[in-house]
Amino acid sequence: LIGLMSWPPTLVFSDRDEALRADIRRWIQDNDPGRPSEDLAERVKQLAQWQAALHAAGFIGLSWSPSEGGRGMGISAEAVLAEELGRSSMPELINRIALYTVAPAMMMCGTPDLRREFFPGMLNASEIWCQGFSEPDAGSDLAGVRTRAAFDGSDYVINGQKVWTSRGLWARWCALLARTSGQPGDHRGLTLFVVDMEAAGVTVRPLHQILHEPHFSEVFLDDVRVPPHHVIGDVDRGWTAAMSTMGYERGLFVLERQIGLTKRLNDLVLRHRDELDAVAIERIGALFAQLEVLRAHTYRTLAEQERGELARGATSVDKLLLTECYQHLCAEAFDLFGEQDALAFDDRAHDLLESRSVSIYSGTTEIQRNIIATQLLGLPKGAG
Amino acid sequence: MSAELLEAFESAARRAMVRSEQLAAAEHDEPVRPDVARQMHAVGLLDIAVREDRGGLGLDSTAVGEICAAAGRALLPSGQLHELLVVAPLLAEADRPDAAATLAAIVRGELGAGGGGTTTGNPLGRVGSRIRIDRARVWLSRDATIAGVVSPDLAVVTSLTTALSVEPVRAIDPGQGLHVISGDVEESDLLAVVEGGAARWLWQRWRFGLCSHALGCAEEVSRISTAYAKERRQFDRPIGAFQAVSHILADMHAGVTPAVSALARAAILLDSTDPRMDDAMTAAVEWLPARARLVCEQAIQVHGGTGFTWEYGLHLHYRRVLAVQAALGGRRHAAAEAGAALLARTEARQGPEVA
Repeated sequence: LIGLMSWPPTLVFSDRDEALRADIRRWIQDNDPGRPSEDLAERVKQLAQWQAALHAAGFIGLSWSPSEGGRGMGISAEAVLAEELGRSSMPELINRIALYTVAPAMMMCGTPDLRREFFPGMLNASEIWCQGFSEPDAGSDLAGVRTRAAFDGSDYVINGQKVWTSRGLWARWCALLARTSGQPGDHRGLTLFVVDMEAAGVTVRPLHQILHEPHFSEVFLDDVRVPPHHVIGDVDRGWTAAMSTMGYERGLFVLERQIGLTKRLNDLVLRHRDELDAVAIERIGALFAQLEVLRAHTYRTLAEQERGELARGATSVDKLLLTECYQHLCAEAFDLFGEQDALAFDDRAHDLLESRSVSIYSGTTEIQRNIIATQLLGLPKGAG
Repeated sequence: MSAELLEAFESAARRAMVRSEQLAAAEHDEPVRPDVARQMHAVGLLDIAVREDRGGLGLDSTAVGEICAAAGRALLPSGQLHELLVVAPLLAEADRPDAAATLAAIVRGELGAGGGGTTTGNPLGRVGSRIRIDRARVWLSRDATIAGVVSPDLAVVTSLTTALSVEPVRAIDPGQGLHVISGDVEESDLLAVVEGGAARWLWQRWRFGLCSHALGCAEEVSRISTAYAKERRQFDRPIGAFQAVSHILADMHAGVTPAVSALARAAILLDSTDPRMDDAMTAAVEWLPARARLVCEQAIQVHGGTGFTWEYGLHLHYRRVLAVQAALGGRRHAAAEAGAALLARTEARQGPEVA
């Protein structure tokens, strides 16, 4: 058969990937610890143990080079892991920020010493990472970062405040953006630091979310000292280091979420199959179709990433599509199957409330639209 | 053979399809002039979706989808799209001795053709030695004398003899020669009959081709809208500088892009023996025409008053997408099919295959 080759690629799993899939599936069958605790602190502990076990079995860092503790496989192997984890009781990797955001930044522009120091703890989850980007005055407009780092001759001394820091309560390390020069509003002059969350001057205060779980926190930094060798990339070039890996993370992240949503939809259908009338079947059908499209799109993103063809800003589409699917699924589950008659707080109510975060985290829907408009469509940057 | 073929096809289609003539065809509900068909036959319209061992180009489904999308961008007449997707592959597949002669006659312009397919009802069935055609919807070129129809388990090409009633329909997408045909035809009088797995595959590829066609329509209006927003100025700046406008354009892009991803994957599954093809197609049929329709609506909005005029012609793409959605059974039917697929999978306790 002859092709024309203007349509995008899709992820193809090699025999080696499929063998890996069989390995992981078998291993999970034998080792799945069951549903994690409702209590968040306990759950974090269990998730860390789970990642450690997965690491010991050889399934973490699949696409990393062997010299850095990985197995030198492709991104399709990471996709296999995400898919198989999606079938388990604990689909989430607790140290995903480390594995998919910080580590790639270190691979791209960090020193070998940084990699040697931090990769082992990232892989086995003995050291959990968080990301210190957002601030009270720098949310969507990240260039507004005001936290400052001043070099005193031996160390950088950091002062300022971070907010919406996921896993801040449990993290040992934080990849933190601070201003080493310039003024708030300028992307230049930011530097990406590795901050020890146990260092003197770091105060973490839990921020309770819509469900009253402290998934994220405020982090206050008062004269926190960071040695110069804990800078990732160049001083004043932290924006580049931080942004270079945003796209890398998103493909896998969206795939993980897609699998989680598919599982949720299956569970709903299984649980309520006797209540489904014709209209409900149509509505779950629409969800199923949407999730299939999301999967196809995620496979495309990962395939383009693997080939180095992923356009700058392209994964904003993935984020928008994920948001649509996520919020649609949670709203439909609530409307079709929720216990609204009893005014009861059930799983569906929980999910509906939680789903509001998706259009906000990791760049709001509005920011994604701005990125698509300016970077992909070439529209003028406007103030209106 | 590669990108050049697609380019040749699209530029031929764009040359042949003059906007003023398309508008006139829509206004008077008459198929466009016959030399459009001749020009498209000259670039090998009838060879595109035919296997190489049956005399065609042997293109993969990805290529066929790309061509159908180009046909959507250029608004190729629906009759021609169905010559490509239904008539030619059916005649080739049935492998009757006169098939090549029939195809040659179409190319010479001696025979007009058209076709359609179905997802609802039961428009094709056997009654003794005859095939009963019951209200099948087909798009016919001007002076058509043969028509092909695909359904999930049976596909035929028939002459439009006096045994069949052929009624024109006032269509959402006028000027495309939409007709409803009914009647009984002796099987031996049919030009082609395909059944079983081969029929199902051709039916799935017809659905895939229509989804690709709708994608092409969405791509085109998305492109036109972005260009318009960069050029059209109000309040001393291009309207695309306003987020109220640029965010609509971004959403249009966020509709078109995953649609390509979904079809690119469906195409590969279609050409393999992968059982996930059915789910991929079911999802495409549910999601894609609906999203393409939304993109057309957004395009009209972005153009303001201009978008609502007859002469600007955005409605032509919008109408085409609405016709595709209806031809595929409409959104509710497609959603019910997807829901049934999901139920069947969970019943088997598999869940939509993650692997």
